[in-house]
Amino acid sequence: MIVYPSYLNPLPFTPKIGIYMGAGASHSWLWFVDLLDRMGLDDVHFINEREILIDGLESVDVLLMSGGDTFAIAQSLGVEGSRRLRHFIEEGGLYIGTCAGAYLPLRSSMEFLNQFNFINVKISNISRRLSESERHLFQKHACSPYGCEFVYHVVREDVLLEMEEGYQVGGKKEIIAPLYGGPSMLPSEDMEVIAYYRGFTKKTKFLVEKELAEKTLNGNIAVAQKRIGKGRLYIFGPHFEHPNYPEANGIIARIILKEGKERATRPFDTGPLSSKIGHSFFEEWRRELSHSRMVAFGLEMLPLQWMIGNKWYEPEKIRVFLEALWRRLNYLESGEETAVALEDPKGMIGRLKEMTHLLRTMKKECDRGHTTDGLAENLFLHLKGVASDFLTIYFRKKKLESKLSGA
Amino acid sequence: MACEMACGYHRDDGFALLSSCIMVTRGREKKDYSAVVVKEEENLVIARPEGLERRKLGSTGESNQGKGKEDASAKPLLLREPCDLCSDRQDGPLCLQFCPVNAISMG
Amino acid sequence: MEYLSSNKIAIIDLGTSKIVHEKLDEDLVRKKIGGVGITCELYERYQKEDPIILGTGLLTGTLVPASALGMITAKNPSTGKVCHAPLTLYAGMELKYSGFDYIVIKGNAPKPMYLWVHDGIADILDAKEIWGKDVWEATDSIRDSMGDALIQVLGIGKAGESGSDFAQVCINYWASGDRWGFGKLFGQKKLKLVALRGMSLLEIADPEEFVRECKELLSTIKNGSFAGKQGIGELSAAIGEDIRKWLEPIIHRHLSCFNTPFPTNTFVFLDEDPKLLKESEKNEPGFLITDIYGLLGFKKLGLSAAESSTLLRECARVGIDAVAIAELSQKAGKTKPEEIKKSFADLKGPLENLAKGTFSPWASPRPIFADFALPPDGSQNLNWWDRRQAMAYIFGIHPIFALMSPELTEEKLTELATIGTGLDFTSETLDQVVRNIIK
Repeated sequence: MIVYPSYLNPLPFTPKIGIYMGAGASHSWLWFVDLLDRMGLDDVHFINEREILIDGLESVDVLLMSGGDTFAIAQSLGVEGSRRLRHFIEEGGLYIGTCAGAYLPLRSSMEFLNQFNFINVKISNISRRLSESERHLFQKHACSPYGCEFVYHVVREDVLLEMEEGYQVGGKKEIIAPLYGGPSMLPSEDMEVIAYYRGFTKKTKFLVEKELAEKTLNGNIAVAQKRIGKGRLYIFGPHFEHPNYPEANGIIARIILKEGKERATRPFDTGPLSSKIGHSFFEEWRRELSHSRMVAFGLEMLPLQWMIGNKWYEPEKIRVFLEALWRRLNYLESGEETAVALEDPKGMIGRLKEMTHLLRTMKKECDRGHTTDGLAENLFLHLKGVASDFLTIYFRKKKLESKLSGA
Repeated sequence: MACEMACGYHRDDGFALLSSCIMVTRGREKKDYSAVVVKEEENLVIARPEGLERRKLGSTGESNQGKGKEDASAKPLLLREPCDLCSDRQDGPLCLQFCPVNAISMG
Repeated sequence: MEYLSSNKIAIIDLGTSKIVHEKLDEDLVRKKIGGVGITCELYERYQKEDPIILGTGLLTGTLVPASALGMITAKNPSTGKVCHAPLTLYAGMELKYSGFDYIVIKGNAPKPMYLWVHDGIADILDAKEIWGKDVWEATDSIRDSMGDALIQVLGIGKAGESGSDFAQVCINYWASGDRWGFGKLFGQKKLKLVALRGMSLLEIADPEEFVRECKELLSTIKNGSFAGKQGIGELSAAIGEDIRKWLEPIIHRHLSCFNTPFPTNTFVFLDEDPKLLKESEKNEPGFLITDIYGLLGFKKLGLSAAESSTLLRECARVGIDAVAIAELSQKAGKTKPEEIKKSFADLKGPLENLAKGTFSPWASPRPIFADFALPPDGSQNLNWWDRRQAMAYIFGIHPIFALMSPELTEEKLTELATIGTGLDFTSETLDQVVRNIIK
């Protein structure tokens, strides 16, 4: 069932949507997965930095880039990735970036980020705009290094936004969306404003004095867009894709369906078709996901955390990926054998078992009191790969069943 | 463990332990050693038989650099929500009400 | 079966390695409710294949107080009668969440195997690495290899492997209420152990009403006659064999089974200071006493609390019923711990106190702490006890706790079953089921 705001007119075609889950991506790309699932869109592909560098963007109409480590994303894409991304948009592609995905194309002189600079917009939440005493306040917390400056964050959770005309839902100007480190942008002629930061709610968590939070955010730009060639770039400071904010989700849905253009020049490389995959294949998924889940659950009882790149990872994050797959397993197991095209089903099962093995090794090492940072880094890479394998099967099955049912 | 089940019910409207913010660590069975762990907004509270520890989420504790430094850009995990003392329930925390041996109290 | 259930029965044939999943028929639940009501039905269905049935009560693993019980239903190898052994601690609960309400194990494996039941999957796996290991080693091995210390293991030791009449199916490292020699059945099937783990979600038909009723019931129960008491020592006093002073010096802690208001188990430290609060550096500092009668049996031989508990630990490692060992040792004139330990394999029956009933005598034969308004002459005790145990084993209530809490009435449990499942259970249905079980 398609779930999106009734005021939207469906496009005459189903957009091919790419979700970035490569280097630097956190777990919030799974929120985009949930959103597209609820929208009933099933031509969904999972793209990492390697695929971007080898024409992966030529197979999609829309690219969704969610939160994570902006520097890691920029570094992994490099000059070539930046060039391909710009080409994608210029040739009609729709780019939607939230949080880290929003910072990526903004003007910057920082190494790696300076390869992008798709949009001439400055941010307000940078330390050079603070007084000496205000800077000192942030030395201890709520900031990310930015050369000799730092990007700072004043609130988490709910922020109140004012939507511009054309983006208001049911005539309602105000909308609430969650902010987790995303940018607050200063006015610029190089963009069209979609939403302003206007205030806070009872659920807003202040990281600084309210006065400073107001000074940093209110009146500045939360969401903006820019036309580049035949395509468009949308930048969201807050996470409009967060699953608990249906109104905000509706805005993203609207943009995808209104702005998505049929521009993909080639199909997503599916490789040779596998034979029909049936119950035993999904039983293997259930078996290994069950194995992984139980080890991950046990790790949550330990006071562990790992620093990977510039981000903290907790054991609970492992199960965020696993549960996203687990709750979709019944759907995959239901029904008859499916002729879903899979490039390498054996390889998928291999990666799945490797993930279980990694988790068990981590558990053993934790029990022995050894550090597990290296294992954790490897594990989270694996998790992303396994998640994208699974979700690829999931969306392909959905797509196949939509075709068969004539939807 | 009834506390875990009760908290899980508060989150999921069914009986499960997947999302509870209170956990009883039962992994040291032969040593008869266990702890109760509660996830708060910013901390992990670990109640061991010998005493209480409060560890900031996103920090590694005493010996690492960047101690106490939180990651304001961290995305919520939406799995185990921090304890809200069942604020939407009239009678207060379910874990407290359902502990069969009165091991939990609120100060 | 939509509510309070995984809606699955696993039929496992160890001989052919075939595993079939069946849906739990709602009509079956309407007629037989749950627990031994259904395990007996399954036993009759497959009796020609000498099955072992693992099951859970209808309310097992919920917020109903003391809903800890799972059970093994099988033919007593000594008497040939169908009997039921309790699975307590966290084993009953884990079975409920493993993705199956019931597991039928039939046939004999051609070589040592074990069952790994998790999240709706049942696998028959080669036990060559663990056959020959004692119960503790086997449990450790499974938990280490799977990376999860919460796996519940129903396993046998050397006693079961060698076909001892007194072989017990143990729960993790501890003695269970298996007085029937079910460990021998496991051994005959070359089934080393059943490992259980699950992370499912049980749906409830009317969640708020069910939870409200559970809360009210718990409030009523908590002020019962057991209030302020805990552990094996208090249980012993209640049955007229007060060992509190004798046991006190080695007590570390008292432990409850899942969601059970009275801690029926006591952990004693044998190689560590019992007053130690922080984690012991010793890997195996003591033992969890789960069976009062085993302990009393060794005490009667004149052994100290530490010696008795150490012997209980050895019995659990070997997977042998301590009550039988104590009785046979006494008959054989053995009273020293070392000579008793050495004679495990040699001690032979018959037992004078051979359990003959349907439900395990691991639960004492009379009310504990509480007044159930039984006639003082004891004439109704047996009928009352059988009925009380039947109720416990149908709904999944801890069988010892059922003897100390008159507030846990049949009416209340029937009502909770109705609210939780949306099926209309009546006292007539319960009567019928109980009659069939204890006929």
